[in-house]
Amino acid sequence: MKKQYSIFTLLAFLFIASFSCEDLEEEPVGLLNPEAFYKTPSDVLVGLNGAYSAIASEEFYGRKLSLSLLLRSDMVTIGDQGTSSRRIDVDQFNMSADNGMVSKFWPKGYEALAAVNYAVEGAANIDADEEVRKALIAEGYFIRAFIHFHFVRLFGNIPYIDFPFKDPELAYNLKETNVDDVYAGIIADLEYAKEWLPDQQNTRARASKGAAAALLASVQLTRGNWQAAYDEAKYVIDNAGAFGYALEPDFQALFDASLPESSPEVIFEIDFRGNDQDAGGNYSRDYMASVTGIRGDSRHETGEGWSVAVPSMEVYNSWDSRDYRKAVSFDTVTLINDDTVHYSNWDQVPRGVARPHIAKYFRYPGKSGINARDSDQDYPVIRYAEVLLIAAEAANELNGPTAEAIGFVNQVRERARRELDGDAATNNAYPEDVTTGQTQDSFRDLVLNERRLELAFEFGRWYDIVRRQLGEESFGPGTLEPDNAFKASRDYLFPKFAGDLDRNENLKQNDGY
Amino acid sequence: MNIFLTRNSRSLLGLLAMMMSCWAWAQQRTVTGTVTTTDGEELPGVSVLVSGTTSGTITDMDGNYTLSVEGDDARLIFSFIGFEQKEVAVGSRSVVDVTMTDDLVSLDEVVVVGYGAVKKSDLTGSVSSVKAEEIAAFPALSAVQTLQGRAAGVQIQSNNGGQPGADYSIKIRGGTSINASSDPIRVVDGFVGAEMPPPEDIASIEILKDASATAIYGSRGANGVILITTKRGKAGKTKINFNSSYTTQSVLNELDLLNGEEFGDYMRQLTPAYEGGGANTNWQEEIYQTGIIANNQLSITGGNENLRYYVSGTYFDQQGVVIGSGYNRYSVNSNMDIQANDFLKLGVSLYGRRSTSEGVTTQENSGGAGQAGVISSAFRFNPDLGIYHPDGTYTTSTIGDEIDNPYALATAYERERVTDRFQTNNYAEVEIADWLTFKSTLGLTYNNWRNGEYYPSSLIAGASQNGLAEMETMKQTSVLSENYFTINKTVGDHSLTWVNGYSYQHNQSERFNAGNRQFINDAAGYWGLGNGSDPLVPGSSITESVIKSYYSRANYSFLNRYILTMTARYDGASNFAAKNKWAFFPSAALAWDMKGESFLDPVDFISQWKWRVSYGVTGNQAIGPYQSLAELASIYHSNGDQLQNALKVDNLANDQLTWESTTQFDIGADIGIYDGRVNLTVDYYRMETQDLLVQRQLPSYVGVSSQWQNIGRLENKGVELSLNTRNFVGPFTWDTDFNISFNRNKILELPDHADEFYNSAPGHFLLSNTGILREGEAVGSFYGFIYDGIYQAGDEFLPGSGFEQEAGGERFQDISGPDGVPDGELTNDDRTIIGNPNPDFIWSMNNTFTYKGFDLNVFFQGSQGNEMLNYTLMELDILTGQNNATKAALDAWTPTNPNTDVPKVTGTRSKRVSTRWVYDASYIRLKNVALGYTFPKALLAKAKISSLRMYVSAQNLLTFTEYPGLDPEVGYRNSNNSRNGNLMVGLDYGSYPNVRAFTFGINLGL
Repeated sequence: MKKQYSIFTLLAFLFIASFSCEDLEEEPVGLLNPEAFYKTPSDVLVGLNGAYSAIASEEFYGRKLSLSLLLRSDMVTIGDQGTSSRRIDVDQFNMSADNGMVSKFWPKGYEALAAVNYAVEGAANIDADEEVRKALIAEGYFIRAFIHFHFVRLFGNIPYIDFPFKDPELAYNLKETNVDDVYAGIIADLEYAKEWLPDQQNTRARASKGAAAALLASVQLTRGNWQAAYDEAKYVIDNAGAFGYALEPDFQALFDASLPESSPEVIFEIDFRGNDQDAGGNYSRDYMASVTGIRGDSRHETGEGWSVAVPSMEVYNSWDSRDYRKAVSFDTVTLINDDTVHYSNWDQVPRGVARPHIAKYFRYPGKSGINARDSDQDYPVIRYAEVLLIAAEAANELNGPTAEAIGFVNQVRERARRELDGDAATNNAYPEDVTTGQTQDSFRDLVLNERRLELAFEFGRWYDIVRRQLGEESFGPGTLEPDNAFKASRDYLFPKFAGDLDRNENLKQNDGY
Repeated sequence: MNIFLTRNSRSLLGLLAMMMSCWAWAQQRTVTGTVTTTDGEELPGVSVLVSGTTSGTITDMDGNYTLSVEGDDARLIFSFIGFEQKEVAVGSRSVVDVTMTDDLVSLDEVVVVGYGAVKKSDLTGSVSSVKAEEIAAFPALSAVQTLQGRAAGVQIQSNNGGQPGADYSIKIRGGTSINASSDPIRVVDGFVGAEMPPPEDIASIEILKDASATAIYGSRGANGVILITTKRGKAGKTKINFNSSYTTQSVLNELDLLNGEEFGDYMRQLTPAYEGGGANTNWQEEIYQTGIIANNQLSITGGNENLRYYVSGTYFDQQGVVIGSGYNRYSVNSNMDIQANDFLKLGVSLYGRRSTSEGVTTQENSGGAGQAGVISSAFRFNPDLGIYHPDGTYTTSTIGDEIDNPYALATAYERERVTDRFQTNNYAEVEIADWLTFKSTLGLTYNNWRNGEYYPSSLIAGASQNGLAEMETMKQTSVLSENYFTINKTVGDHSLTWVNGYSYQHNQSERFNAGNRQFINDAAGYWGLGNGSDPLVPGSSITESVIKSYYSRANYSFLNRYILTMTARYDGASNFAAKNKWAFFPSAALAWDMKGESFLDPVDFISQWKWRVSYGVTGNQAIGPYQSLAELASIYHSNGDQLQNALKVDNLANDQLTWESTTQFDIGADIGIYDGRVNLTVDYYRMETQDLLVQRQLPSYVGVSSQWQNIGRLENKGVELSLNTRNFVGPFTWDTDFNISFNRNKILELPDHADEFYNSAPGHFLLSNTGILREGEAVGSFYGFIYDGIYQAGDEFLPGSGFEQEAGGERFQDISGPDGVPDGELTNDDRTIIGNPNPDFIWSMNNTFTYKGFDLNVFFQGSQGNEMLNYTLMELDILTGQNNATKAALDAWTPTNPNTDVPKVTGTRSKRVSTRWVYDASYIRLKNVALGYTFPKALLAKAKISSLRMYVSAQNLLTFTEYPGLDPEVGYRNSNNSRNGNLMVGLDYGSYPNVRAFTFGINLGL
């Protein structure tokens, strides 16, 4: 009786087993496979945007790298002593090999490089005109040079990454590249970028021909290749019209995030978007306004700053108060609980610091989140004033303080004096034009000091100290930050990221760490 | 299985009776009678057969029968499913009343194992059973909560104190993984991954622990298996049961904090000009209330031989002890079993629920400006401020990071999650031959939830953006088909049960979220997403995964004394890499019933002595789909304030990625003494997990931070013992259940043999490397400095950047340096492992007393030797003026108060993980004490009530602990994901408080 049912049952079993016999291959929806993704120029641009985005993240230009550069220099030191030790250690030349700033911005930089290298590889196979393709590759090379340039100055010999990693096993015995070879790669990338990038992009936050030349000028200046540095800077100056560069009439306008347009002075900037903290994690999230802002400050609806990175009194006192740039660079009076309070009383607030604070970021943060975090600031990486000063410095090294070199500096000074009423007669008298009578040495010092003030708190001062080996002059007795434990044998370089050194014995830690 | 056997033997009996019918001729007389249960209930549908004849009948609705018999030698056989068969000699009587006893008390108790059930005596694996009475001992949302302490080797803890709807983490024999989940799988009536119905609907829970028991679940068995058997209908009179309880809850403990005035004094030590707000608010009192749970269940069960049903509805409603939190759930659960004909059996199970949870923010990942949760804010917030400013707006903290006041957080913030779940599981069972059956099941679950969240502009997080609303929905479906043959054959002294099957499971989940800001007003909350003007980036995703499996288990028994179980499962999972999708999980076990040997015959006091030994391999495939594939992930990029598409390289392909596999050895014994008055089960086990799924940190210059790889090994070994004694029997009974478990967890191998650090501290502490994974150490170890008390004037101050070098400051030990030896300086090199959150042992003791109608249950549960890192106290008592402090601040070091263990108040002390904040969190807790009274039948009969029990109970009435924090049973962040579930243990921050509860309840049977 049951036999017929058993056959039926067996058949049913086989039926069920077969209908579900699809294979186990995954067919993910919405997952982007790098092998198949890059097909059009806009795909490559989306890849490159990933690199821009990594740069404009909290872990890189939004705080970890930029704050490290500020604190390391002689222009900024720790305000709130209760802040985290990873910051204090950078400022006080007490970094350990596992410093928490490096452990964030080092990987983030390489994340940007991976995005570039994947996109550049993808660009090889897209369907596009040669011009378009090369312009995209050039943009990738610019970003690649930008990251490597930061890292070679910070760390010396580094893993130089100009290819997309597919098999991570290869990474475990990768050799680091020495400084000269890293620079050779940077210069080659920037020369390609300068050749193929367009004169102007739709935004100053993307690499352009002028940006490549200006960055190359900075690289050559760092290398002491004065002629090449001069040539590149001069190229930018000579083509300022075509590239759309000019000095911003009002110095304050460079640091006002509420203004809609980038200034024509900006050659390349890092673009942050205000108050989008819920959208993309730490991407496009800036904290510089918060860490330089004033504790207890009630000027902004979004609340106080954190007084973490505050210049020493000496930085403020030594700066001529007639200089309009000083007024733009510092806040000395603010509202606390809606009362006007002078900086000498700012420590009445818990964790407050009674010193003038950096104003370039916190004064006009634009649209921002709580404590001005996630501000709308766009940080100039290189602006036209710096190109003028590069030209002046390089020209002086080549031929001494020529009229041309002095003229470059005076352009910068003139803008610093400028009043906005259009009447030159009402301009400030200070800073005066540089007159003749400079020696090569005195002019060199003058240009470096001009850079220090003009570009104050813009993340470049530490690199000037390194390339000019100014450690003793900057941190010895009687300097702006005399109390540091600066050791020339160790502290011109940061410690490399300890995590990577643990994983690859071919990487060598810098001396003293 | 037992049902099958019983039914089968009954039909055999019928057959036999039929064959013998030709002899049934003699003088006839009538016998009548009533069949009742031991409870005195009449049993309808009982088959009554005259032994040796075909004549027989079935009892009517009142349990009565009438039958003709011949002569005085006649014997009647009474049989009914679920009851022991009974044979009675009629003699000369004309009325034969019979009381039938429940089958459950029979010696051959059956134990549910995967894909069937076995007689307890035939069990070779390590399996703990928990009975229905224990599961429903006190009102709980989920049976997981009531499982705590009920089975040896099972560690259960709430992920968030007494939060309404809180999840519980379960670890069976320790955590077997680092990154994959260590949670056991849950199988409800054979449905893997289904949801447990409410505790009142559960008949029993079996916990499978060793490889012999779990290997049938192959790639998902490594963390143990929890088998839930739900209540099903019994043939007989329709029974209506109504269970109702009402519970009040209160916070177990509060922290003793500075009041407004003391706080002002404290702040003035840092900021002499501090004025304060002049108020005196105890924020804990502002946000706590009496919690209430109302729990009601109505069930109807009954049926006949061919159709049996169980239908139950529950309503659970909870108001949390923190204002603004609550949970309610409606559920319906029904099971139907149909005997379609003599060889086909069908079953249908349906379960549906709607639950709504009103949330407050607790256990926040970071409590920086505008981000504090309710509980931590109640501790941190200025006590010298009131709830409102004079203008009616909420106060915010005036010190430290600006945070909302706790009352504002609890009342103004809105969060609601609504979950709808439907699940059905159906089977058909065909008896092909008396030794062969085929069973096919088809199960479906739909789980849909919607989350809505709104920060109004009255809170900091909403103020800067004029309201912030987010909504998220999830739709999860799972389909499971199981098809298996069971062979059951006994030949002489050999008996064999052999299960062979195939299964297919498909899971899919769809997610969608959206949000907006800049709202016209706060009126519509998250239901007005369109009323904002600054939308958040929306998101959506879909994932699918498939597991296919073939499995086989043979249970062979010889002479009922020597039992061999061999199990194998061959699993294919889509989640793994193309080259490694399939794997094989075998196990073998032997049991020896030593009491069956003749040499133990003379030893009377031993009633049972069984040895068990097993060895096998199981797996853990609990990682998300698509992890073996290369991937570019969408991030975004800002260009001139416009968001643009951007990509990061997110994953590199790993074509070798596969299961974690755990090999487990178990040896155990089940010993019964004095006729089962004392029962002891002891097990030793060792588990080694290999090919740990780790996100191996890649050299960062690869540009991708990590890749899923199979590297590393982890060991768990331990001993567990459970002892059940029936101390008194008779009118007064006293039973004791005691269990104790020792587990040791150790990392054997890590990727690159390198220590791996992670941060367990709240984000706004700005700490890193507070936890460590290190070979030779337990998972979850704390990492930090060794606190050495307070510096006094004249001490030698150890140099070190950021370390205090003054009297009254925190002092730490210099234990190492860059070269591995103390260097006279405090640096990060002086950190070491400073605590282990894993207990030395956990235990519980349950005592049940009954006398006449009274029953008393006293249930203690404890944990010994586990350490806790208390971030709450660190934040409060760092004494830097960033927040309120505990009363310890009153005893802070000053030049005039040097003899104290509280460092001085200072604005510049860094938060630092050290032994100062690591505490012994051992505890002994009176989890439940319940006193019940069951009314006598005779009394109830008049009111047509068949049973009535009333009880009062109290949970967490007493706690014995030295732990200085809020409660030793709190957690922090361990529920975020499976990795955190393994690593974030023994942490205390901002957790929803644990509660003490009093319950009054009735169980009414009609």
